[in-house]
This record gives sequence, structure tokens and C-alpha cells, in this order.
Amino acid sequence: MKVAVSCNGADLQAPMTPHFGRCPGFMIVDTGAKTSEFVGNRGLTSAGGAGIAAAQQVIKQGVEALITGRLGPNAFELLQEANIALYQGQGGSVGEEIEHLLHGRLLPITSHGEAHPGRQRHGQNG
Amino acid sequence: MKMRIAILSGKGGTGKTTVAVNLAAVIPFCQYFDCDVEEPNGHIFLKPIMGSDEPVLVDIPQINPATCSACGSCVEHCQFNALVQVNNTVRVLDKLCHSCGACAIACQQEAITFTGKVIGRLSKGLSPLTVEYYQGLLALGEPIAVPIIKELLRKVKRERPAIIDCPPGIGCTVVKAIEHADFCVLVTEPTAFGLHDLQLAVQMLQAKALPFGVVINKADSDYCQITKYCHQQNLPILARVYLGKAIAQSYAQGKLLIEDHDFKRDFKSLWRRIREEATYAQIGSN
Repeated sequence: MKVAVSCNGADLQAPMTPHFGRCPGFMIVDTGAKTSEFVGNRGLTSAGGAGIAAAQQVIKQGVEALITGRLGPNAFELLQEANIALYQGQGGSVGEEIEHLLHGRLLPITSHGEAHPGRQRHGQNG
Repeated sequence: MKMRIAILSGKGGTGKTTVAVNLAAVIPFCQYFDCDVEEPNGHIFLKPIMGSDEPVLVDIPQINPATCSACGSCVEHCQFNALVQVNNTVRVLDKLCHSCGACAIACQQEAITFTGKVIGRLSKGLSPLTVEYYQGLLALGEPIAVPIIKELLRKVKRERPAIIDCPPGIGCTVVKAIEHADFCVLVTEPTAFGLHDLQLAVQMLQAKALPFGVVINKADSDYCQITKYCHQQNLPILARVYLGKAIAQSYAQGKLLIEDHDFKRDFKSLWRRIREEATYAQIGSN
């Protein structure tokens, strides 16, 4: 099974981060082949629609599950549509989170959090 | 003088609309454009009799599923993350779309066409004070205001003076609103926030190489942090509006300050100062 974990660094010891759209990147872990690779998050630098950019990347990786914290409405809907199982991380390292998942210790994410308007404020305050 | 004058501030709530409507009311045959399209409020003071009203449309891509090969090129080229590909179908997130058209250029299958989406309305009216009133209004829930301001300012008639009441801040909407201005008036207040945002607005106008002057609203003394900054930077102070309860009361009642004779004289002299400064700037640039 291929699993994506939103994280702060590029290895299995890196901490999982609860931010989805603005996380530095994702560790893509193949639990069967025991391989992993890091993919930088395009959402981190986009002016708006960060969650969408991040979701698009996760979808492109062809993962079956995602471990993260909070998901915005757009990302939540897109990931569900792509049939990716969504799990609430517990704040450990990427490796620990994968272990939690394999032992059935993670709760599924069943609803989205609040929308963030993004960095481009087309109205007030530039 | 056929000038287009933009009124902006950086900080919100400093008195852009107060200055803009009163100025428009003392300039003969003036046009007034309320570009604060999230919440246009100039009509409260100018009391126009509203006439025609028209929608503002933007182009949103539509993907023909029959010809789309799900190659992902359009998604790749969208700078605004408005397109996303899930299970071999491309979806459009219209609220993020900036109508740039890059997706249609990127598409090799010619699967993208555009459809108009209404994002707001323009309306026009005539005030009893001979001010021709125009406003844009962004529809509820729509995030992108720039196309409305762009369409609104197409209504400017060059043969007459125009007052452009800008939105707060120095973001895209303000940059769009000042695009064709001949002169800018920065309305500020003597507070730390007023000064901070004034400095940002000054930097923006200097980058745009537009001539401008400062109006200090809610002034409580002749010397303050704003005057200090203006003197240091050699920026012209065009006028001061002193802090007063009577002003707040008349504002709350939706009245123009120029109903008072002294304020009428002050705003007429502000108009004269603007023309002088604009003339100096023109001479300086030639």
C-alpha cells in the first residue's frame, strides 16, 4: 500500500505535520516494498489554492491513504473523490505514523476544517 | 481641468470616502467612481437617483469530456490552482480562476471553451449635486474583485473630472483602481497604523511613478507623526480635517460635510491644491 504523510522533513524520522496545504512536503511510503521518497509541496509557495495544489500532488502520486492533520473543504472533497483514505496523524515521526496506521491505531478524517482565504487578499490590506 | 483623481489610504477607515464624496460634490460636473466594490458606500452621501445596472462577467473554462485526453497540461499550466485532475477528469474551481486563458493555450486537444460567469454588477446614477455616480458591487461569496474595477473604470469619460474612490489597502484592487489616475490623494490619520500603512501606500505610488499628496484626517494638532514623515520625505500635505464630533455626527447621518459653509470652502481649496500639485508634477516630468 502506498501512503502519503504530510511532514516537515525528507526522511522517515521527520515529524508529521498537521498542516496539509502549507506543509513542506510529503513522504510517500510504500509499505509493501518498504521504500519511501520525499515530494516537495507545491502548495507551500502558491498564492492561493494551496490545499488544492497539495491534493493534486498527492492524487498524482497514486497513494491509497493520506496521514495528515486538518484538511480544508476543497482538498477534503478532492481527496475523497480520488478514493484516498484519510487518517488523522498523532504527531509522531513519519515512520511512527506508518506503524500506527498498519496497526489500525489511526482515526479516519471524516470532515473538513475551515477554509483559509489564501495569501492573496484581493480586497483589504494588500 | 479634466483630471482623474484617485483617493486611497493604505489603512482602512481613515476617511477615503469622506474626502472623495465631498471633493466630488465641490467639483463641477464631476464623475464619482466607487471602486470599493466589496462595500460601496458613496451613495449614502451623494444620494444618487440610480439608473441603469449591468452585470460583470468573467470567462471561466469549461472542459469538454469527450475531447479531453486527461493529459494534465492545463492543470500544470494553471498558476492559480483553479484546475485539478481527479480520476482522469479535470475539474474547474471557478472561485480560484483568474480568467487568464492559459489552460486553453496549453490544451492540445482543444477541449477547453469559456463560459461567462456573473461576479457582480455595475450601476450608475445621478446625484442632485450634478455628480455622475458609478459603483461596482461584487457578488456575495465571490473572491476576485479586479475585473469589476476594470469594467467600472471603462465608464470614465475623459472630457470631465473624475474622482476614483479606491478600496483600502495596496493590493491588486487598488493597483487596478489607480491605473489611469493622473493624481492620487492619500488619506491618512495620525495613528501608528495610519503612518505604517501610509508608508506602504507611498512606496507603491513611488513605484508606479504617480504624483500624489497627503490629506490628514482626524488631525488633533498641526504637528504629528504624519507631518514629521511628510516633511522628511518631502511629500505635500494638501489638507487637514480636524477631529471633531460634529463631523462624526454628520457622517453617521449620511450628510456631506460641505453642507457646512466652512467645509465647503476647505474642500474647494483642496481641489485647488490638487490641481496645483498635479500641474507642478506635470511640469517636473516634462
